Amino acid sequence: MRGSWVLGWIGALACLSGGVSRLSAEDTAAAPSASYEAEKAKALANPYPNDFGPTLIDASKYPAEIQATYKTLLTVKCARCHQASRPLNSQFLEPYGTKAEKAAKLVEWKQKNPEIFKDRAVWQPEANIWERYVKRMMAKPGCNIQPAEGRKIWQFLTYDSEQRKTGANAAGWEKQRRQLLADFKAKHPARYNELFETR
Amino acid sequence: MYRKLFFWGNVVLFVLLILAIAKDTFRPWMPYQRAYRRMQAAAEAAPEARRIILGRPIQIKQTILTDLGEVDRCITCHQGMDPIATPTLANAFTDNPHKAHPSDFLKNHPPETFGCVTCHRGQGLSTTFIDAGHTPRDEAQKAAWKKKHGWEPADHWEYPMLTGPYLQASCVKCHGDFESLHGLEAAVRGKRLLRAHGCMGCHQWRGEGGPVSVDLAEETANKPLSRIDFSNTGLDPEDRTLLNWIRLHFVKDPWALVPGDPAAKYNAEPIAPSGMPDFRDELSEEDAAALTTYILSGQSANIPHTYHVSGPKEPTFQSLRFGSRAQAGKWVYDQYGCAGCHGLNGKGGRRNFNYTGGLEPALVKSVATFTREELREKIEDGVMVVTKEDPQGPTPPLYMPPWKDKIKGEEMEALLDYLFSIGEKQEEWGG
Repeated sequence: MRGSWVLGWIGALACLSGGVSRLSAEDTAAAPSASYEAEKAKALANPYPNDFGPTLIDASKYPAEIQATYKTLLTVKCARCHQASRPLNSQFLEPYGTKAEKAAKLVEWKQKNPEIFKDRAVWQPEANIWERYVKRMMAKPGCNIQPAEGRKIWQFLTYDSEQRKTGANAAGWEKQRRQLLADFKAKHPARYNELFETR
Repeated sequence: MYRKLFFWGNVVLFVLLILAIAKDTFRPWMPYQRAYRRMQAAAEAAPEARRIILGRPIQIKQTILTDLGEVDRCITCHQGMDPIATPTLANAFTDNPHKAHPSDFLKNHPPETFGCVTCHRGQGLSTTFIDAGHTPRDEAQKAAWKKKHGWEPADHWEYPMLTGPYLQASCVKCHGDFESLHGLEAAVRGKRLLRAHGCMGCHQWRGEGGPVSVDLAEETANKPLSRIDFSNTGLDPEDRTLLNWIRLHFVKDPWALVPGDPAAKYNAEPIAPSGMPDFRDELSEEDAAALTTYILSGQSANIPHTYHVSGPKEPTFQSLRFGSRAQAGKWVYDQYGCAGCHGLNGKGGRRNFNYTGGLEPALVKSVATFTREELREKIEDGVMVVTKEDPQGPTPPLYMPPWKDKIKGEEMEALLDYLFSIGEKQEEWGG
């Protein structure tokens, strides 16, 4: 639990460095500023298991609009302050779709994939967890993610988390996530304890 | 040769003797006592009374306040407050230094017990206008005093007299019940503002409060002038007092007042400017005076406990009755100084130098993105690591301390209720 929100918080700080508004208004800035680099270094100084996973995913089979968000927003704006691996390897899981669809999917998952509700360090399914976290990043002073962009990022994260962490991909995700957790515990036992065992 | 030397030496000694006698005869306080004697005698009808008054010796008057560790000579000039010269402590004179103390204040604070400087401050031992540490109440009086007395601040004296609302600070030192007393409105207002504007989130008051900055009572109110850098205050040297230093923090941009050294021009490492918010949009001049008054009341004083008047206990969360738990949470928000960083009613995050984004979070914007449990953890753990906007710049002066040892149980639940009640409703992306 603690791990999840701390993760979001650090992400928010990262997004923040979107002191971006001060440093550059251009979303497509190719060379990250020293400030963003420092922000990333800060984020890595307080690592999460997510950070040690892949920084890229294969989104080629995603809908065009979702792919565009991945390429132009997630790997650009979000990655200014923390590596893209942080959200991509997160345990957060939010069903994709409307409110009604989300509720229905959660019920369905509970029936068909009860395992994803048993270990919140691997799956943390909630109806609006990505929505809350993206909005939290956006509420940070200095974050220059516009509402329309935030909405797109949220759509990507819900779609991607559902695609890669449930259904046929659930077992693969569990394996990857547990490996990340095991490696993290071995490398950063104190941090692991702080994130997953203190509370 | 020796005879001449002897002669002129005697002449010099004689002249010095005359000068010494003249100086002693024309001490500045002497004319005041003579004038007071004359004025008192003129008001008396009985010849015997006049004779006694006029026969009163001209001499230094002093009150030795053993309990308080003070020696007061103020009544040497202010004869209207001398219990020997004016046994009733009342007269019809209207001007200083002859007039009696206004109102019946001295009935409850007899000068032989309390003296003058205990309340008014100033240098009690002095018998000259300047060294006594008189403080003009405004620029007009300052100009008049300069003309009449050649006024300037007393050299090497850190406690000039208090004027106007600031005098109330002295009352608070003894009166634990000051909030119920007439005439102490500025001090009461200052105490209320200190809570409402979140000062206690960063500062402490006698050890109680947030750990981010100094203790306002123990440190600020007792700060020696030698430890204050007045160079950015814009104050004339004669106005460089602790009182003005404190007051300027509310009427001037604290970044201008304490600019630090963010570019490390003069220090090995960059130093952020003051972490204090700019309160100029929230506080009036009167508010600034009220806050200054209350903070000055924290000044240490050698006052025996027998002089203290106990007041009611500070209200606690348990002792108060609230209309709702959210209202109770508002009290918690104020009590622990959350507004110091997050603004009044959580509406505006305050600035934090070199913090990413430059501002502390505005809770009304962000609180709805938390679950209750997440927000509770956030408050309990704080944010000890503050990220820098410019990695080469100074460490941001503000951070969120962990509150888990201070805000807990019902207080925490009430605070959470309050925070969620002020959070702006957000568009639901999920539809």
